[in-house]
Amino acid sequence: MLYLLILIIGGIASYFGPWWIIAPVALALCWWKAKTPKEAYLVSAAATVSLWIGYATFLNATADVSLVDKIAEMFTGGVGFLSKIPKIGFVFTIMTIIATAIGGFAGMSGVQMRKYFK
Amino acid sequence: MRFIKHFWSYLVMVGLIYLLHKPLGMLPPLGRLFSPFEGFLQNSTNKNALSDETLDLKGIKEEVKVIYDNNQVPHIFANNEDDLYFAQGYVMAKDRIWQMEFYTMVAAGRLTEIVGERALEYDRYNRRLGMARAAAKIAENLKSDPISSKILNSYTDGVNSFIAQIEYKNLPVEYKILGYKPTQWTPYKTILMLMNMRSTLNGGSDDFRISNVANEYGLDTIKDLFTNYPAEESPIIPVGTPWNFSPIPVKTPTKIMAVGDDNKIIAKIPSPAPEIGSNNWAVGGAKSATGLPILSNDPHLGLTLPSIWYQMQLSCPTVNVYGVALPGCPGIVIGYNKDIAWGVTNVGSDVMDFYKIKFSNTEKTHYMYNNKWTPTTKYVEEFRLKSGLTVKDTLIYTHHGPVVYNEAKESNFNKNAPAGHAMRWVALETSGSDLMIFYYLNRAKNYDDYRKALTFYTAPAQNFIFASNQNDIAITPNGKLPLKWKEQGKYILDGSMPEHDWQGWIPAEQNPTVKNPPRGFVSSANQFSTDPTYPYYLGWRFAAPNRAVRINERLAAMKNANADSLRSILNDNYNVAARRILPTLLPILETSKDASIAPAREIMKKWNLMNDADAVAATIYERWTKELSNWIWEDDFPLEQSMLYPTEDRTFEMLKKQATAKWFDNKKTKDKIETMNDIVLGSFKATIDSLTLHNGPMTPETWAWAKVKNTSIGHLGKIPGFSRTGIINGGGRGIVNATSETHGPSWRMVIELDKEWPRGYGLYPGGQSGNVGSKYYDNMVDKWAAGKLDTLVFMKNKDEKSSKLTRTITINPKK
Repeated sequence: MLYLLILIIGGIASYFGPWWIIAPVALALCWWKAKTPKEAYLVSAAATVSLWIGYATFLNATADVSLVDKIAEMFTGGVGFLSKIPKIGFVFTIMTIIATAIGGFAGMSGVQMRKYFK
Repeated sequence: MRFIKHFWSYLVMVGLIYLLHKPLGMLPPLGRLFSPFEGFLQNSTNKNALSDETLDLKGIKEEVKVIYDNNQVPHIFANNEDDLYFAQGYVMAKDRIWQMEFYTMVAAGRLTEIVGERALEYDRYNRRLGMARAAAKIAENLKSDPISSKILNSYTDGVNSFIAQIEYKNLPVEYKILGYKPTQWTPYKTILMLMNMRSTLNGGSDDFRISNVANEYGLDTIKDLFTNYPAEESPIIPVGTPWNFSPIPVKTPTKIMAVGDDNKIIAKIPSPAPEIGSNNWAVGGAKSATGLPILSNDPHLGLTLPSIWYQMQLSCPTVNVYGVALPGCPGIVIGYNKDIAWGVTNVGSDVMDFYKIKFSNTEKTHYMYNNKWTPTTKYVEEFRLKSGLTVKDTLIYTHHGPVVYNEAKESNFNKNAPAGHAMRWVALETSGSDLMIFYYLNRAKNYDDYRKALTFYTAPAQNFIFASNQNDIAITPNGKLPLKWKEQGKYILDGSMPEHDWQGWIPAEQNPTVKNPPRGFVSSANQFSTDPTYPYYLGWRFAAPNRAVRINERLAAMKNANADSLRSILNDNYNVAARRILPTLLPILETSKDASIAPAREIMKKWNLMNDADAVAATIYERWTKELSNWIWEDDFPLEQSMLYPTEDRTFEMLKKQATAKWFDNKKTKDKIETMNDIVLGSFKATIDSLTLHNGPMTPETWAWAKVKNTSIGHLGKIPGFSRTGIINGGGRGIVNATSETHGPSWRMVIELDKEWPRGYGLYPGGQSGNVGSKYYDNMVDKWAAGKLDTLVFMKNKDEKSSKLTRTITINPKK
C-alpha cells in the first residue's frame, strides 16, 4: 500500500514539481504509514527506484534516439573498462543509486522524525 | 543526541539533494540530470514532438506561419519585416539556443563562467584580442542605423520570447550538464557571434614567425623562400582582367620592420588556418544546359555538432529568400532568391598586424609614437570562474589596438622598460554594418543590387560570388582591405613610426572584381585574389593554389553543365599537388634497393591521383608529403622556436628545380651532408614505418584513406558521446572535396537560376536540431559523406502545397 502511494503520489508530484519532490512526498507518506525506519527505507527506496526506472524505460523506449547511450558515452568517453558495461546498465545503475539514496533516506527520516515528536 | 538520532537520515537526505542539485567540480548536477522527470531523458524526442502548434506571443504584430519541411527546415511567412525577424529569432532559438549562447561566450572570453578554470587561458586570449569591446561599440553604433537596429531588435525580441517561456526540463541538455541557464539575448550578442566569424576567418598571423626567420637568416633568404607570389597560381580575378581605376599612391618607408630582438619572439598567436577556406564558383549561361547561370558554394570550417549553419526560408512582402543563417544572426548569409544566388569564401588577406611598442616605464602608462610619449589606455578585465572566484587581467591599448602579447623581458629599445606588441586587426573595426550586406543580398534582384550590397561590408573579407537569372555572373573579394605598402605587415612593424600605421583603406570600388569574364565562369578557393599586376598589396601568402587549379580546369572543360555536374566538382578528389610533385619524387624512390618500401612504392606508381575513401596511395601521399616537409625544413626553421616553413609551392619548386639546394642538408647531422635523394627516401621510409606502427601492416582496409583520416564532427562543447567519428569519405586538405580530419565543407549548395523559379540543392554535415536527442541532430551527415545533396524546398508562398511539408506552427499576437 505504502509502496503504491509513494509511486502514484510521488509520480504525479514529480511530473509537475522539481526532481527532488519525491523526497518530501516519501517523507510525509512514511511518517503517516511506515512502522519502522528499515521498512520505510526499503519501501520508499523501492518505490522511488520503480518510478524513476519505469519512467526512464518508457522515455527511452519511445525515443527516436537513445540519449541513454550518449550520456553513458559522455561519462565513459567510449573507451576503457567502463565502456564495456552495457550503456543502459551504466545509466540505470546511476539512476538506481540516486533514487535509492534519496527515496530511502527520505522515507526513513519520515519515521524517525515522527518518533521524535511522539 | 536524541535530535541527531532522529534527524540524521533527514540531514543525509537534504545533504544529498543539495549536492546532487548543482554541478560538483567537473561533475554535472547528477540528481537533476539523471531524474527522468527533469533531466536528460526529457530531451528525448519522437514523432509526437513534431505536430502542428499554435502559439500566442507578445511582440508579434500579425499572424506568422512557420511551415516545416521533412528535413525540419522552417519556412517563415510573415506579413511584415518585424514579425519576420522576430520569428527567425524565435525558431532559431528553439533549435539552437545553447549553441547561440556558447559562441557569444567564446567571443566575449567568458567560457570560464560555464566550464570553469580550464578555459581561463583561452578566455584570456580572446579578451586580449579585444572582441567584446569592439562588439559593444558596434552594437552601440548600430542603434543609430535604422535598418540594422530594426532587424536586430526584432530578432532579439524573438529569441527572448523563446527564452522567457522555456522550462528547465526543456532546456537543451548541454545546459543541464554544465548546470546553467540561458540569459537574455541582446543585439550585442549577435555582434559577438559575428566577431567569432571574424576571429575564425581573419584571426591568424605569422608576423612573429617570419620576423624570427628574417632575424635569423636575413631578408635575402626571405626573398628566396618566402616569396610574395607562388610559382603556380590561378588567381580569383582571371589574369588579364583590366584594372579600370587610378590607384591611390602608397609610400614605402625606408625602414620596413621593427628592430629585431636578440631572442626569438615566442608568441601564441595562431597561424592563419590552412583548412579554414572554401570553394565557390558560378558558370555563365554559355556553359550551362539551361542557358542560365548555376552557382555553387561550400564554405570549409571546423566541423561541429550542432552545425555552424541553420537552413531556413524567410518570406514576407518585401523579401523571399532561402539559404543558411548563422545561429545568433538575423538574415540569410549564403543562399538564393527568385532572381539571384550568392555565396562566400574567405579572402584571407593580411589584416592582422603587430607593432613593437616601446613603453616609458614598467606601468606602461605611455608609449613612444612619432617621437612623443603618448598615453596608453588601460582596462581591467575580470574573469568569473564557475567556482565563484574571480581573476583579473589588465589590458593595455595603444592607438594601433590592444597589446596582445606582452612577454616580461627587457626590450632592445630600453633596458628598463618592457616591450610589448600591439595589434592592428580589421576585426576590431567598428564602422559599417555587416548585417546590411546580407539584408540587401537577401532582397537583391540583379547585378546592381549585388554591387550596392557589397559596399556595406567590413570583415572578415569574403569573395562574394554572384549569379542572376539575367545571365550575369560575378565575383568580388570584398570587405575593408587596409591600404598598405608592399610587404607592410609581413614582418613586425615599428609602433613608434607613423609611416608604419595602416595608410587607410583601399577604396571599396577598387577592390578586385570581375563580371562575366570571357572564360565563362568565376570561381574562388582562397587563393590569391589577383596576380601581381593589381596595384595594391593584400598579403604575401594565400591558400595553396591546388583547389583553385583543379576547379578552374574542370570548369574550363565544362559544357552543358547542370546542377549534377557542379555537384561532381564539389566531390572532386583529384590531388593536384600529387600531380605536380610525384613525377619528381617517384623516380627517386626507384633508386632505392630497400625491399621494405617496395610494396608502398608500387602502390604509389599505380595511383590514379584520387584521394578516394579507399585509396591507400592517398594515405601514403598525404602522410609522406607532411613528413618530407619536416625532413627538409625542421632543422632550419624549427616550429617550436616560432619559425615558419616555406609554403608547399616553394618546397615543390625547390624539389623540382634546385636539387642541390643547401636546405636539403640536415644541420643536425654534423658529419654528413644529406642530399635531396637522402631526404626523399628517408622521409618515405619513415612514413611507411609510422603508418605501419599506427595502423598495422599495409592492407587495402587498414590503410584506406578514409580509415586513416577518420573524419570526425566533434560536439561544440567537446562532449564525447555527442560527436560523430569514423565518417567514411575521401578528400583532404588541398582537395576540392576539402574534407580533412576535423574540417570540411560545412554547407554545400548548388543553385540553378531560372527565369521562373530557381532550383536549389544543398545540405550540411549535421541537422537542423541542436538537440542531441533528436534524429534531426545529425540526419544529414551520412548523405553529406556520400557526396549527395538534398533538393531544397523553396516555397513561392505559404499556400503552396508539397508532400515534403510536414507541420505548421502558427504564431498569433498575444492580446
